[in-house]
Amino acid sequence: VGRAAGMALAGLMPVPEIQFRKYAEPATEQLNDTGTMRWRSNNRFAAPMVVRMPGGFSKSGDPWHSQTNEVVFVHQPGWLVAVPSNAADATGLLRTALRGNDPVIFFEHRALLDHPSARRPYPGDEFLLPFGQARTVSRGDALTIVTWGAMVMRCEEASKGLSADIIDLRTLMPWDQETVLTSVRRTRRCLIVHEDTRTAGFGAELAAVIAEEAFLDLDAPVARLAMPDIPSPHGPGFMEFAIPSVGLIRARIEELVAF
Amino acid sequence: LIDILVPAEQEGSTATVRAWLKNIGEAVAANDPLVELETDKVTLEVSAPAAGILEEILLSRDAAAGPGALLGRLRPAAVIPAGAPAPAAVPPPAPTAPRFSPAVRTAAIASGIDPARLPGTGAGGRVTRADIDAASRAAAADSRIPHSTMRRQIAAAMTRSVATAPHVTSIFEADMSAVLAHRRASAAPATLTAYFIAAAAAAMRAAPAINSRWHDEHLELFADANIGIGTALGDAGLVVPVIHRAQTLSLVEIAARVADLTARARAGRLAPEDVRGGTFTISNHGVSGSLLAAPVIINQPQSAILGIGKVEKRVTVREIDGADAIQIRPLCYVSLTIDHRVVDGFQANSWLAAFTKVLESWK
Repeated sequence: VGRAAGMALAGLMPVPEIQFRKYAEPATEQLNDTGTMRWRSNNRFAAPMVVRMPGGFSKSGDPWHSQTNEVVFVHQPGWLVAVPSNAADATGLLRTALRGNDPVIFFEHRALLDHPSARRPYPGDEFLLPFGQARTVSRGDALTIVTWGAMVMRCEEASKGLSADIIDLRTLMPWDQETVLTSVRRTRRCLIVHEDTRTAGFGAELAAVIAEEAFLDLDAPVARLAMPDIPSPHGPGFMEFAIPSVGLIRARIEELVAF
Repeated sequence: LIDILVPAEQEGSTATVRAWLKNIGEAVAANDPLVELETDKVTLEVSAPAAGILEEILLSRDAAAGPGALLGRLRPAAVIPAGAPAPAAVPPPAPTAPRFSPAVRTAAIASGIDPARLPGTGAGGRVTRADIDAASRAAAADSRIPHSTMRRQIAAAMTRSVATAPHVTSIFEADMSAVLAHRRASAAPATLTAYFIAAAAAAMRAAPAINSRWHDEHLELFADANIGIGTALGDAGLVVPVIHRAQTLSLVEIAARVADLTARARAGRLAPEDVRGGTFTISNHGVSGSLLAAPVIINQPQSAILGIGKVEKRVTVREIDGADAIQIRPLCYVSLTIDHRVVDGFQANSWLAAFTKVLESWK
């Protein structure tokens, strides 16, 4: 990461890759300092780079490769954070990231690298997606589900037969407040689903903003479904219990709609 | 098991179950009120025939309950199996003020609908935003309100009366100066209604046929003036509690009866005998501002009905010491609507002349 910062300052656009999410920890200081480069130099210097970083659960979990913990990068000023849920979005976001002047954490979910729900036709050489523009996966009136990454496919599956707005944020920094708030003001109920652990996960930030901005429109408490505050378990059985499953998501949706 | 029955002798032809006051499994003492029945005229309570546990409810809310119908069954206290757990009366849930979400409260302010009055479809009966939105839409739309037992009975009685009796209305004006002076001088002033009842009872002597009932072959003249008072129950309709043998009662006694009956009428606590046996009716429509209502429909099978307009100060011309003078007097229109089969204008006017004379010469 330090070498990439130097290359970036020299005018290149480096794309370092950290395999996997957990191994970004030794680079914490250099990552953090890269984010503040423009601010510290009053915009005379910039260190744009795209840090590709696979993570999240796969066929089995573990405390290292399977972490998501994207919220750490959201919390470091200067970084943009992309968490695509499919190949087309990844293409558009990656191209935008490569053309920008800011460092970007590009989170590549392990479970989506070759998953049917993530496969898309190549959208073309000119396909660009702006950061901070969510995708509305499905439209409905019973509730709003806000999610990203590998949880998008599970939320789609869990809400089959129900009338739900499913919003795939696509990027967490910046995130699309307008789309989320417009939806919640209409459905009046919101469930946030993420793979990262619950306490101080990015869902906490979403819930706080929704409560602040849409308070008078809420007919139920903003709900969160996330991994308990434990490391991602090795065993597939435990993993099914810990990571929000289609069944857990469905149950939480029904509870919230009935509130 | 002991049967809980609708009383065989119930006032009014049909009754409906208004509410069960106990739940199944709840312990009751003998004579505890169990069920409320609503007839066209009164609300009745059916009490427990014995002590025990309410075992079955066979006629639930809004079901028709004819005389002698089986309402439910009671397991008597004596046959509760030994060793069975003591029938714990289900404690009523602690009353908590309902709490509403921001979305519901916002809608309540915008629509003016009180969410506390809505049945909720949310978890635990919570009123949801969808509930209040639906109520708001319903309030803005035309609605259909099913007739209550009382409304149906009023409709049938009014239609029958107009179809049966040729109505004729005669109108006098009564000067209330003497009555109002008497009231002012009283330590415990009687209501004006009491004066009107007393004067009506006295006026029967001038025209006894007003206090009568038409039969195909003869006229039945009543010795007692049992005078009913139309008592409005708001949108629910009206009831007519009766002051029996008013001709034997003093003003103070009449006033006490009126106060008692109207209070119980508004509380829905009239007994069947309170509304039975009327021979004449007074409609005091003036209390709600009406100057004159014509015709007031006769309360069948009676022969006449008295309408009293609002008492108000009006300018009138009186001859005082041989000279005309413009005076301000408390006046009200009084009307007698008669069944023209029974009597003619002559008796109606004699009656009204006597009635106003009693009021105007009250001492």
